[in-house]
Amino acid sequence: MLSLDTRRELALALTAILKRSNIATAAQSLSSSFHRHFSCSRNWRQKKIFDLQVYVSRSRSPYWNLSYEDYLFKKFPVYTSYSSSSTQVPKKILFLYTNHRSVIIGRNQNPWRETNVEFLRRHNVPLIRRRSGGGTVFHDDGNVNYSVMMPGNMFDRDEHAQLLCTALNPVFNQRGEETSLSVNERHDIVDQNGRKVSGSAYKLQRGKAYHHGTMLLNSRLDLLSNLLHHSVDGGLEVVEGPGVPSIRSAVSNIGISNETFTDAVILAFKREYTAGSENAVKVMYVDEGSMTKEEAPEINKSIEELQSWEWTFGSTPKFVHRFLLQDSTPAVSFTVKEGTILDLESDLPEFTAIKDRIIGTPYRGPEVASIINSKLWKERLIRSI
Amino acid sequence: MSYQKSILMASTNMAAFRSRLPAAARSTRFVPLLCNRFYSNTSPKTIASLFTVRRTAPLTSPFTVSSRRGYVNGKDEELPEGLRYTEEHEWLALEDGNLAVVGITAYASKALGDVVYVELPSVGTSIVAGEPIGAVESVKSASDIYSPVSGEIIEVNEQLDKKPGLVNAEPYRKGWICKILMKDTTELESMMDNKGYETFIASS
Repeated sequence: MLSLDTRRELALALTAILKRSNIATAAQSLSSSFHRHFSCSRNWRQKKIFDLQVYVSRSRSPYWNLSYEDYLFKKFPVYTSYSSSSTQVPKKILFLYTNHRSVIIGRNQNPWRETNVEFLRRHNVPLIRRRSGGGTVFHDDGNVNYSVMMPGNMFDRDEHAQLLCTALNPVFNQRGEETSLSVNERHDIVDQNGRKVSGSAYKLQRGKAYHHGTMLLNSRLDLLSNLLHHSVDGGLEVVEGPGVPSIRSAVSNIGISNETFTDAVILAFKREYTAGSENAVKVMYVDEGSMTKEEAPEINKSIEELQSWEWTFGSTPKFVHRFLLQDSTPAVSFTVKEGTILDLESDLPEFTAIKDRIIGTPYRGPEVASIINSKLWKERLIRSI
Repeated sequence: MSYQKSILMASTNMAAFRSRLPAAARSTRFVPLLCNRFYSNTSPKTIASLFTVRRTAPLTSPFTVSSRRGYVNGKDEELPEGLRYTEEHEWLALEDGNLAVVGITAYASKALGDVVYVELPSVGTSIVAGEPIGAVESVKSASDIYSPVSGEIIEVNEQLDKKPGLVNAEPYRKGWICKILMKDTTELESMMDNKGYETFIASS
């Protein structure tokens, strides 16, 4: 039997339905009254109010989007335990962006191990190293990325992933689809078949943290498997060395449009983190053209760094890259640190001859190929390095 | 069972407890290892450690690194003596006067999860207190480490390249991150000691 309060609220809501012809709003007030009842009586949880800011990017450039995300994080205030006061409203930023086709690797990963560098080059897909940790992901126009920035003492890996699930599951229900999302132990969002639809990464700094992730809506999964098919899987290359490995999972699209996703997520965040009035949150649309004079130099500098070879390939942790012949015998091994060749091991004459010259050169296809004389190896190394 | 219960009851009254210790132990400094946080169950192993008294010899400097190795029970679960801590969960131990050894605490490494990679700073970099000196990456999250003091980095723990898990397994011993030659030892005074750090963790 429902309590007196709930019955009163229901009665009010029903009269509202009769009075107004706008069914959607009445339904919303009904559901919100139910929500309030259940959350109050079952597990009372004080709703934490945030100063929520929502940014939606109109740009599709992965360099610009990642740089803007870094900029937002840099400008996010630092909340340390000694500076936080109970009266201060903590800030939370939600940033949603979509990138053109690209492959993004984690900060401490090895691109040769994680991606098929040759395939990337052939299809002109940019490879970008982001600043947060984690594994390798594929971005394209059918994938919307979300980034949530929060104070450091409120860092939680699952909270926002769970919120996304609760935001999206009603959408599938309404459409009659059987898709149902949940969060697994690895903090990934998976569908009812256990296929991954979203991968997350986190970054913790003094007093603040962010959680960002992908959401596969209508992505080209066929390209994904080819691009993230490691160079080493072909059997002709071996990469040894530290670095964060990617964990492979079966993936799936959830099949809603970018706009539907964006709207659902913004609504869910508004409901959860603000007092709920319609104009509690202003959504800001940003792109290259909306940068102010103060923002532009920093963001552009960040874009340049992301595009540089030194950051993308040169900052790979020390590794050994071994090339094999068709019969799986090792042909040559390059030991590379900070983008320069430290050592070369080979039994083949074409490499032992140039060993002294090659040590110290940057580990880039054209440079390495210019030192080697063998035509076959020139071609192979230009493609693979 | 009653034996264990009597120990716990006695421990709430320090004076009564100390009077039951052997005479020699009564007079030395004794760090009570009674935090429930660290002992979730009262197994004989943990009870035994309550009676082991750390005798700290008179020290010339406030903390020495020899005490870093004198753990009671090999597990790095309670805070070793003689270290200083920052609010970012880094610990610092002094070796030979000016040389500071820096790492992250067990609390931080537990919160991060399995560490898969440690970004070490370069030897020879001169840093200012509060600057980032690298990062620790666990499954999915990259967390920056900040230098507690100013000085020059003269050594980094290369073992972490191959075995980043040392940060989880032995955060205070083999999982050290770098050694800094300090310029100014007065910076240490503003850092927390064991008690301060324990209170800090409890309140966060």
